Amino acid sequence: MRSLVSIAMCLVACASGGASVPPAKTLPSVELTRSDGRAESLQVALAGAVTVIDLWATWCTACEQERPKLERLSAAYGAQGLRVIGLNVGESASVVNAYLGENRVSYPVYLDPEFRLADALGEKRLPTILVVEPNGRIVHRSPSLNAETLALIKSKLSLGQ
Amino acid sequence: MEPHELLGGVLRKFVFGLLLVWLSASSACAMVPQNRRQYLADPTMPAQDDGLERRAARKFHTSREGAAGADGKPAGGGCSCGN
Amino acid sequence: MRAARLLASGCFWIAAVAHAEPASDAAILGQNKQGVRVDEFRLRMTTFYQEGRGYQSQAGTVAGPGSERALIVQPMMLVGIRQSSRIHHEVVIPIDIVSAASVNALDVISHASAVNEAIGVELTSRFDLTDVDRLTSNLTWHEEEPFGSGSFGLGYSRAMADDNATLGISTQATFDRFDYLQPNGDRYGRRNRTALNGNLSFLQLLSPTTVFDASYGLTYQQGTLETSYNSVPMEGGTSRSKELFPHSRTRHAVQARVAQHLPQSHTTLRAAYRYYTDSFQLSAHTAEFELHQYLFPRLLARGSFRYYTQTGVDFFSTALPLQTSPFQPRTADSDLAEFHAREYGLKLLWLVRGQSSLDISWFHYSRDNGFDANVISFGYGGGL
Repeated sequence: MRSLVSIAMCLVACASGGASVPPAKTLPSVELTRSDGRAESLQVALAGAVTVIDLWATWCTACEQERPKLERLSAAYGAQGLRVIGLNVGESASVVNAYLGENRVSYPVYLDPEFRLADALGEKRLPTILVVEPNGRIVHRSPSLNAETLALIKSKLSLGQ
Repeated sequence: MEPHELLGGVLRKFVFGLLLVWLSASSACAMVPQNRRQYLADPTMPAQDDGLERRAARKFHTSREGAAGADGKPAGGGCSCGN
Repeated sequence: MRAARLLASGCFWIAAVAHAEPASDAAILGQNKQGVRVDEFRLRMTTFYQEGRGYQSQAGTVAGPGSERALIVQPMMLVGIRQSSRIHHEVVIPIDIVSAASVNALDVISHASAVNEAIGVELTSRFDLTDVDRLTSNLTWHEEEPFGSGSFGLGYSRAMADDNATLGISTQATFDRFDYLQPNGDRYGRRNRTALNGNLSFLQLLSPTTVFDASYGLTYQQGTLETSYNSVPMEGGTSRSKELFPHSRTRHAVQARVAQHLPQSHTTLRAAYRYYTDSFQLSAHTAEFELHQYLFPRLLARGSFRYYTQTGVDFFSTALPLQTSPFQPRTADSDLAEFHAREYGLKLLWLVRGQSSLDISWFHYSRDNGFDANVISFGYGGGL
């Protein structure tokens, strides 16, 4: 009986998961490559605009459902200064470009094949939607573009931030 | 062996075996973050199995063999065979 | 002047478009497109051709085994229906068309038809109660000559450690009713039987490329368990007795599986082992191996091997002693005899586009008690 209890306690401790990196509050300073091959600092690319960053991967079916919403968001609020960016996590340029060849994505796509930015952000789930202020402060994270996220984006745009 | 003794013996051994495997595999509580599961989503991995193909194979085997079960599906009945 | 008016109206429309209200929130979020929709569709056609000789069949001499030759055509359809973000349904419709009379003693004794058909419907529903808790329900209906079956099941699973492990438990009850046919073709009303089944399952991600799962199944059956029109040759070779099973059966099975993906070679290796035992004293071991190999980025090949061995039930006989009590269990069913079986298979799968695929597969199954089958299958479909 005692051995069963001790085994059960080990299982509970194991199932409760290990230590996790706390999520970053500002966008880390890393240089990434765009899908078209250009190297660019993400912070420089974001300067002056409220930005929505979509962390995604080609194998993630839930990410596929977010893409049309982000396209519509970009079309609706791009003229008001909103930037939408895709950040592919963990895949090579050849895989991403093959996907982009079959699926039209109008917003810029950056690559994070070694998970450097994703780990620095403390994000381990896909998809993840980040809302970033022009100064690089991350003000919102969610697993999808939902009503709450959209309301926050609109409030940030109307405040001229 | 009576059925209830069989139940106690087999079930007890299964649970302990399962715990041993889990503990040895999870000795470091190996965690695969959700964003690193691209290979687990591969069409060749179990999560992507074709349900109809597995169903047809299971029905063939349970209709022509005495054993059935342990695959999450009911074992016994459901056909005019000896299953 | 006219050109100026045209220019002015053009500027007006450009300004109107530029200042147009952005799309509504519902349009951006796609809420006006949500609702019940089909998110998966699959078709499969499987053909089984089998040959064998079983003592339970009367398609032969009185004392000897009868032919088990049969051709079975099995079309199946699967439709996945997304009701909401947390509710999903899956409908499977299998149809069996069995030709060649000898596999079914019913046709030998009654000559009712040379073709038997069977159809069923299975509805499986998933309810995601939370991000980690899932409830499933299962309803099945099956009808064939002269047999009908219905079952109901419930299941619960919980994901743990950020979906690295999943624990599941399920139960199912199956009710069969059928005409009580005798080996001579007489029909003695209807009989029924029930099966109660419980399953425990566990899945663990061992690494980014390795998955392990294990499960245990317990089944208790009660009622008329024999196939009533099967018969058993008596000693002396001049008569046959009807098949008779014990009134209940308890069955245990444990299974473990592992899948390992090798990214460098684009290969996946899978292995499975199952141990089975029951109160009929039948014990069985099953070992399965699969090798999946990408030939091209969208073309997969799979080779498989399966080995199965069983001890046979303790009341199996191909020559029943004449003094055997009429109430003593007996069977000559070749499926319940002691035998070893080997199965070899090949499959080609083409990932057409997105989540859709087209595949063709074949496997050859062979038992050392004289039963052989070749199975060819075609499949199409996937996520929508």
